[in-house]
Amino acid sequence: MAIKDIFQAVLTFDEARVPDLVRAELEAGTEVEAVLNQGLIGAMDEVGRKFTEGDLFVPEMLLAAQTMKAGLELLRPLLADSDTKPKGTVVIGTVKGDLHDIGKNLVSMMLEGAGFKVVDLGVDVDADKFIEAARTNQAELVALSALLTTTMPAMGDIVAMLKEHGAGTKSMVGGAPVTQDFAEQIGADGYAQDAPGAVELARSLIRA
Amino acid sequence: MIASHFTYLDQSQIAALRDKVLEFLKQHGVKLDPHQEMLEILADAGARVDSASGMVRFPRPLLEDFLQQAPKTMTLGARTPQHRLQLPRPDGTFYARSGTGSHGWIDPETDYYRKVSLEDLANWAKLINRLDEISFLPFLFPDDAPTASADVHALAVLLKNSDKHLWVQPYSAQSVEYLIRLATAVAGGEDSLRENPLISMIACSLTPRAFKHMDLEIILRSARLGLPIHACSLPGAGGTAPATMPGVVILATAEILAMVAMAQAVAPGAPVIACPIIFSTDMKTGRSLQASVEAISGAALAIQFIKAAFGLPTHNYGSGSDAPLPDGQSMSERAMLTTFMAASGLDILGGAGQLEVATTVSPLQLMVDNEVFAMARHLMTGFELSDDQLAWEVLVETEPGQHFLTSRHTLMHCRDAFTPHNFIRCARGSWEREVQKDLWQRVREQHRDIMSQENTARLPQDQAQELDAIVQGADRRLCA
Repeated sequence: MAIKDIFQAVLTFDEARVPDLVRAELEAGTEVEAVLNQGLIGAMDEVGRKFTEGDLFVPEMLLAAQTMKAGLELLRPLLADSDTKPKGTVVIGTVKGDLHDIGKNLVSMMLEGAGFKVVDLGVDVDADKFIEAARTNQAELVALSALLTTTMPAMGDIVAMLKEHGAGTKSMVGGAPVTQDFAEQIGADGYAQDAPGAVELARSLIRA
Repeated sequence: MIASHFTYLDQSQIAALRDKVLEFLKQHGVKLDPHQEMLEILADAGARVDSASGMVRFPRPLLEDFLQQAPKTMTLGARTPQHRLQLPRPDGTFYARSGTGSHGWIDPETDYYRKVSLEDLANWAKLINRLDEISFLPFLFPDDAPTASADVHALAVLLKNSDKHLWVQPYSAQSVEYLIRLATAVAGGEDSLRENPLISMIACSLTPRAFKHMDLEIILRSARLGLPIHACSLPGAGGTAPATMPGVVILATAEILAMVAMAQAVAPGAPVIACPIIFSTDMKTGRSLQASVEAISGAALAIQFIKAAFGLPTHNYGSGSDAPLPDGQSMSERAMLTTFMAASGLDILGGAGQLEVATTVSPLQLMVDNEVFAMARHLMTGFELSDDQLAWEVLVETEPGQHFLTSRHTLMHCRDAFTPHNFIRCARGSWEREVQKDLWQRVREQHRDIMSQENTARLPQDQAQELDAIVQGADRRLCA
């Protein structure tokens, strides 16, 4: 067994096998952080790259994220005891008046797969709830999703509230009608066109 | 009229699918947002309602009764009699409408993309007044109106600038009242509106199998007022619906029939049009597609099935493209969509002028679509096998090796052919000498000509002021 087997199992969506591989690796004395970063998160980075290049499709990316999560669940109690911290905390949700969540769920899973702690508020979320969740969880980033042009203005309201009350919390936006121009217009810190893009953006915004 | 439309399905397949849909609604049902009045109406009518969960299941005899009651013909009214629409179209072809809800605009002079404005909407209406094949129009999403009352502002602009039937897509439950008030004011009262419904309403499911409070409210109010309801299901294969189109069709039809049932329960005989607006999902990006071969064939399957199984008038995209530009891809996709939908027997072809999966419109594309619709309706007119059409006499008279050009028969029919406005038929040499303009340049010139003329469908000033007062009331209440 080796970390590369865990990596490969995530890439081939072998959800049944990943927990056994992770367990075996831990029993062999491999550091938790190594299993996490090189095995699981590393595999998801490769999944994101393949998706961006068109080699993997959306359902496959979702399945890979699910597979990764099966391994991550075994590591969670150990991570809590160790010095290994999440890469950051992201509050995510679909804005008020909008019930669409497929894209948001995909981003949420990919962010988890990349090692972020994700607080998913669901759909039709009031602006106040985003602010409160960011404060309570000490989130570095709030990610806003909308599919309807009529609900996009709520993103502007939330971004403005974050700037006023958010203690430095950054914002990123996405969704089918959302554009880079719109993100700049409302003062969001970033716009991501797809889930792997959201992961890269989250990494750069939280590092900065 | 044509003898039959193109169909994927034989009678046994139609029956089997019909059985699946009714069984689905009987056993599994749909979920309604808490809307006490609608849930009570459905329970009183005989549906199996669980008020706590909002789940509603429809026993088959009840559904069959509702389907029997639902009218198979109806009228979409208009300010002027010549624009009133009998559904299905009496000549056996179809009606067409422009795109709805788009927020992007391709400027007809500069080709630049920008957001739709209220002034653009007024110009859009003015243009459509002059396009004979665009029988009715919905509003676009204006960027310069207050968001909370954008639909109210938009409908007022259309009512002031067009005398064709208007299709209304409310953006919130709170605006429904104002939208109906605007139409009632122009109609001259509720009774007049019932007799001549100037507007019809969009109600949508939240696929899969759920209904929001706003759409339940739309169904309730529209059914009571006798306003035709376009019952829309917008499933995305592999996303909000199964990945295979027959499964998508079951889901979409079930959601539409649930809306038919609700309307009939509220007001027996309420007119409902079935709108299975089928999308495929690009599995590389998760993006919804309206003009992929999967979306087109799925939509065709849905329409063919619903017409054959339930006899309801049908409405779907009959134009549009997934391309962001009005280019060769746009033309190819929409030509395929228009022809296939028309051949499948679709009663209303929607989406004229739209691009980028219905998020953007182009006035120039709209004008080209107008022409393509005219050609498609010609395709759907069919042939009479009369003596004159069989041309037996002239066939027999004309000797081998001779020609038909100077025959009386040819003279009688030499002007029958469809004459396009902007599609040309000249040879390259003539084009280089005399025309020198491509399609878009020719269309742009025609657009300028239309826009330079007065809009003769403008509402009288006193009525326009009445609409302004309603809009101001909406702003005060909705934008507070």
